[in-house]
Amino acid sequence: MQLDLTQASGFAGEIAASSTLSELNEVKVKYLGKKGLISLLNKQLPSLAPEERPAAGEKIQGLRNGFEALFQERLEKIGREAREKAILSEYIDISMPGFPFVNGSLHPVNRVYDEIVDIFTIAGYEVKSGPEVEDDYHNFEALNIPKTHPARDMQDTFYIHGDIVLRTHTSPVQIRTMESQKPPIKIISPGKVYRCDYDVTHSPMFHQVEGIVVDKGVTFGDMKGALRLFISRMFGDDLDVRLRPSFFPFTEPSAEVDMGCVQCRGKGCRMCKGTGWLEIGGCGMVDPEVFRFVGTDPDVYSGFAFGMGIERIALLKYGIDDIRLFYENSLKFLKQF
Amino acid sequence: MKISVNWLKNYVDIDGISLKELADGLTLAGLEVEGIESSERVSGVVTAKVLEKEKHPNADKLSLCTVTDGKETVKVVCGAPNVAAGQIVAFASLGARLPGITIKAAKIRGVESCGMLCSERELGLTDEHSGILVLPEGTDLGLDINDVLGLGDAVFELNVTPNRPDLLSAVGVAREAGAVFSRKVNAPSLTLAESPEEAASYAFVKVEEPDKCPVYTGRIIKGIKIGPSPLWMQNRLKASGIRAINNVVDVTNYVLMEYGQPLHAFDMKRVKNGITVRSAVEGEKIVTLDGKERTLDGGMLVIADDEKALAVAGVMGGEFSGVAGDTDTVFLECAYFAPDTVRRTSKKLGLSSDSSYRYERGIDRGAVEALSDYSAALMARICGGEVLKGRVGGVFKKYETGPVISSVSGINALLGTDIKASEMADILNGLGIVTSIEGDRLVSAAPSFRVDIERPADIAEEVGRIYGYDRIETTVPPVRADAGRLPAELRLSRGVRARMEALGFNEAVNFSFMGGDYLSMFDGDERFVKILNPISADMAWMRTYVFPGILKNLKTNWNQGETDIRLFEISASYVSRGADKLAEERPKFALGVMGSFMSASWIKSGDQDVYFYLKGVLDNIFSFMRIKAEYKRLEDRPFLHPGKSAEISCNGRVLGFIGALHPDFAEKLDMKAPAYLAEIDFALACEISEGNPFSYAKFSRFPSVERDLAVVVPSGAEVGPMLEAVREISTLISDIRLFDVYSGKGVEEGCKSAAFRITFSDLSKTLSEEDINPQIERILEMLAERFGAKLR
Repeated sequence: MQLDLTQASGFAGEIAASSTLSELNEVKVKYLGKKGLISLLNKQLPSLAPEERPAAGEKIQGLRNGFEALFQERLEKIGREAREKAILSEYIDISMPGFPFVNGSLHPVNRVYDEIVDIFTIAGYEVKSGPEVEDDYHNFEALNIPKTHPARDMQDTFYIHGDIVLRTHTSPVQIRTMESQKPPIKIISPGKVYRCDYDVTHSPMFHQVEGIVVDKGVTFGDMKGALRLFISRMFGDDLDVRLRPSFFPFTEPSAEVDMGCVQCRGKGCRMCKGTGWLEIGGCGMVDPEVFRFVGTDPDVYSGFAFGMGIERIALLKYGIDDIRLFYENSLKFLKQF
Repeated sequence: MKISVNWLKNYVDIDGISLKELADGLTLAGLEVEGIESSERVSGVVTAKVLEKEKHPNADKLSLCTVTDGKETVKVVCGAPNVAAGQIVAFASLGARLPGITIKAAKIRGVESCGMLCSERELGLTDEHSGILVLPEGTDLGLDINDVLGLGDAVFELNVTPNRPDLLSAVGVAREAGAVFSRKVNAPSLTLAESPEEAASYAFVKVEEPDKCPVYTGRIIKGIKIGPSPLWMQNRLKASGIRAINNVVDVTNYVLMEYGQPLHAFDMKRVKNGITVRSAVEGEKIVTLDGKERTLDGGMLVIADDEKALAVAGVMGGEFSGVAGDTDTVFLECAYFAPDTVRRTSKKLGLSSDSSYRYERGIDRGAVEALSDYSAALMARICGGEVLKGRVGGVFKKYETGPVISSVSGINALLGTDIKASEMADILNGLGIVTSIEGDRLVSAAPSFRVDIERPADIAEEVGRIYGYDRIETTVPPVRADAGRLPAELRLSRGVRARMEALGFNEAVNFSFMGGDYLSMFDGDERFVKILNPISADMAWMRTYVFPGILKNLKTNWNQGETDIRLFEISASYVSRGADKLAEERPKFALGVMGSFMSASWIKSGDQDVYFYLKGVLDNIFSFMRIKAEYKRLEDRPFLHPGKSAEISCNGRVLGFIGALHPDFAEKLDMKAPAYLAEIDFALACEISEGNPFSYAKFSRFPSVERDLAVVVPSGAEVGPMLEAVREISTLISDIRLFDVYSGKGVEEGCKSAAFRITFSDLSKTLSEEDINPQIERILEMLAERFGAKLR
């Protein structure tokens, strides 16, 4: 008797035709199941002549191996195709917005405030603060602005009481610092100040930064250096600084600080009225009278002080044309910063 | 102050210096030229009279005018609506040249026109073009309009600093220009011719307060004739913004602008006997030249006769004794009043004048007598009449100043320069500060008009500014190695602000003052700092909390159509310690939200109350600041929703609050959606944060075990304390989270289920069931006992 292998050898086409896992498994059952075509061949072995059995067994095993190989190959292919299809079906619209971790904003005045503090602290200045509801002595008297002095007209003051005011500048902080600390002193005092004035260019509350350096041998040239450093860090290295003689009761000599126009970079334009310069603050050598008030010997020490409006810097830096925008707190404005 | 450049040219030689160079030179020496207005000269334009005005035969809006310049009479077509017969006008004859136009004969609507009547714009004066320029009645005909209007001049607008009253005059500016450009200066002078009659026989001067009025002189000019002053004088005054009144008043104003010396002319017939300079009687009244009655006090100085006050010294004259049309004898006051007296009086009366402005800054004390003579001579020349012999009054208190001694090395040390002594002396002498060199010393005598030169620092300034600030070498001050550290509050506020920005909040800055009515809605205590002179009622009180500003911002933004509003501010609050004391100022961290934060996104969050959103933000910030915050239900803040508000504290110290705005307040304030607010005492938060420095804690390397536990509690029970209680029950518990809260089907009515995930870990081993089960037992027992919780 001979084994008929014909039927059991027909699996290749069927495996190749299977496109799903279940079809493929059906083929496997058909050939390798308990009653599968290949399995059935094994059952015929005992009926063969003993000498033929090994060769027949080998043939059957060959068929079985051939099946398994094709089956595995097909199985992997179907699996791979299924995964590829699944992945394709999982595609998302990567263009849609992410979780709404919306970034907020910092107020433009405070942004500039932070920048100023950084510039000066890196240059070795300490940051000092003081009361905004201030007494007449620290806001005026000790800064060499007696009650009868016309310089009082330079600042429109909010009064709380005869001798209590809303500070009109951050200069009282220099007095308070010098009262409690002996030279060397190298500080800036940023903060809110108040003046009785309200229009496109004036706000009744605004921010100032004042700096003061007191030590032996501090010069007017040092003051120029400090201001140049600040302006180049804040607005760019190309902008020049010009000091124009002026008057402040608490400094002598005094000067207005002009810087090259931020728009035309000093060439002259409408913003700077063709001059190429923009006024940015005031400065001067600490007046001996101020030293006298705080008990510092002007024959031993000298110092310079400067003051600038932070809003003014922010207006120039961001090209804002109305100071009142800073305090309306409209999101349309705030969100831009 | 405004001053004509042509006028300056009379006193200082500025030939060859352009207008711009002059302006820049003055500005860089400290006399800021803020603006320049200039006009061009015209040719062929003279004053003329309109004799007749007829309607143009062919045009409704035009008229045909007959005009004469005194010599010739011509017909001119004019389109100006204001032209009328009898007017004196600026007439441009044929061939005249005006800015941009040359006048030619022309036929206008068929009628010949021989010239043009000019508007201010056509003359290059101003932009005024609604009608022709009409000159004062009585102006002579045929005058060159350049002279009448002062064309071809430039006017400087100067910003004079309060320390330099000497620059409030033409002569002062000329002197400064002379020093800056090293040019010669010639101050004007006149020879005084006196009549034989003695002034002293008309009037005497008595000064009762020589400290307040150290110099008082009077000149009597008799037989003057009131009329207009000459055009050149009117034009100079006009350039300075002073209206011409009559020749006497104009002369006083002219000397004021020329020399900075205020004068006052009394009508002699109104002066009963002599002049007394005395303190006002308390409550004494005077009607000043502006027609207002003023009530004086004892600290004010008046010029009086025997009967009454005639003028408020240095501030303003009285109406009664002023010059009138029939004045024929004038008492001309030229005096020095003490700056602080004038200032005090001017402030108290709320009355300021060109005179008080100069007196309170300090006029040239040494020049009063000479200027008394000069102005009397000028008045006689301009107004007619004769100057009586002698001055009445004089110097009642002498004034002496010593030299100012400075040192060359001291000045160089202050400026950071190496200027030679001789150069310094040249600069100072050029300014009229007579200076000699004695070794390293400079001995300077300031002229009496330089009231600001008293100390070596003042000398240094003069040297520096004329030497040129731009020539001083730029150096860098030394860096102190121990400086540059940020104060804790500033450092922490930066961190908090950066987080708030990342959390989607926008930083606001509000005014520190708001309306009293508004602020007292949120703070019933009488502890406000109040401004005596606020800009308006809604900027009158200093805030005691920062959130009211944020609340306003929420409303404004909502009304502007914003639907997702998140704002914060770290600013001071101000609590009064009494009106005459400094306030208690504390920085506060205020937050406000309004609207929804996820609904605008396609990514949906749950519908939890916004309270939890804001609380999450605060918890993030507290975590950054290492603050362990406790939230306790808060029911006594009238402006907060009692069911949705909490007091925040840390170790028993109250940090602030969080909550929804009370619906009653929302209605009162017309808020269109629920607003949520929080405010934290930032100073206290910083103190706690700084007192709790970060330190590393050991953690377990063995696997941790998680157990979920769901318990049923009465609906009103607070879950927060349960979480705390569980956490504290065992050191094995490393974390506990609330992951679900549920009520409804499957949970008993009036109860809710809370589900916790508890994490157990141990530093030395992997925990077993035997380790954990007893803990669970203890937790359940405790929850049952303290919170009535049942295992679900």
